[in-house]
Amino acid sequence: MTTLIVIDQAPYGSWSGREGLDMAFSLAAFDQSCALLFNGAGVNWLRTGQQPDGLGQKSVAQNLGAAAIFGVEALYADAQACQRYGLADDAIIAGVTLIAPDQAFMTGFEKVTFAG
Amino acid sequence: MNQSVADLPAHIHTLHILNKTAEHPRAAQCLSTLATADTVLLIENAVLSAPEVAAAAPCPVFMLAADARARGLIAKSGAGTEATGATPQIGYEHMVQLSALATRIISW
Amino acid sequence: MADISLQTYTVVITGAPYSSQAPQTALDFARAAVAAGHQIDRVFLYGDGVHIASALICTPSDEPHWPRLWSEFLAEHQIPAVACVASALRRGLIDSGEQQRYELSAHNIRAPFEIAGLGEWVEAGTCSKIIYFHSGA
Repeated sequence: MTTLIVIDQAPYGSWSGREGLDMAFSLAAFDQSCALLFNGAGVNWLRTGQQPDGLGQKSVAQNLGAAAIFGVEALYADAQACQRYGLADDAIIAGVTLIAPDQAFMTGFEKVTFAG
Repeated sequence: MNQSVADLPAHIHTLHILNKTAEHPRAAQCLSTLATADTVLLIENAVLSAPEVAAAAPCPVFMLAADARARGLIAKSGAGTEATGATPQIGYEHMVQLSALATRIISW
Repeated sequence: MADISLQTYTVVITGAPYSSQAPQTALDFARAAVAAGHQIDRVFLYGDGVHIASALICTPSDEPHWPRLWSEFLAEHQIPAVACVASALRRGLIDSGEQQRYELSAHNIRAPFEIAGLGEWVEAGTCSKIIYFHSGA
């Protein structure tokens, strides 16, 4: 009965990732079962050491780091996309499970939703 | 374009609504998650990729007639033009029927 | 012959009018759903979709006026409609309450749209089949 929110656009240059995070945290706040999948360019949300203050934007690293406490059940990332974007294990924030977002994986979720 | 309910799948596990052409990363993602019990509905710009999607999909594929017609992909006697191949063109009322038949709907 | 049971839908639109086809596809879907006897319990505007709720959009007279067409459809069928507050405020879609709160010069939300939070969307997910209409970009 879990909703999977998928984020497949990179941070800071587009907003759909932020809107996806808002959806996930809203579901969690209302005690609805949810998980996050970072896919494609979206895996770049998970890189450690982001400092977006020079762009006038906020880092979501703290929010993502606290996702489990907020009630988001899991953070998943597309392993292939992580490789493409040079995200080695030590460059990814803690608490992320690398997966292949194939049919078997996606079937496990009651809903699969994009923010835009 | 006389699609009767009898021509639509009786059960759809997941209805995938795709509105992006095949080279869009999300289209590739959609194709990689298709199962035989699913159905794909191509809408908006995605109708242009109907032959590619139909060839890759393990499940039935439909497209919205209004979107196909807008883009010059005119069905001839229901068989489609060379550009569309054999992907059936359906109306919005059939889109509603597909969405009602599906257990799960993913808009990519 | 497929057995089609009556559904309750929530329509979510994240694509803006005149930048995407989302408002048009969604309206054609919504009209067909209602014509077939299904119920639409609400329409939720998120992200760029909030522009559908603008009272200030102008179009050439020979082009569809999506905010007006949506307003008329919603009023005719008494369907509640919400623009997400976080998306709306950031894009300058303001109701009279927010105008006062932020001491702005005007408000521009078109009836019957109201501004509310993502909680409306979460609640919809517990009781309706949600169908999303995104930009094709």
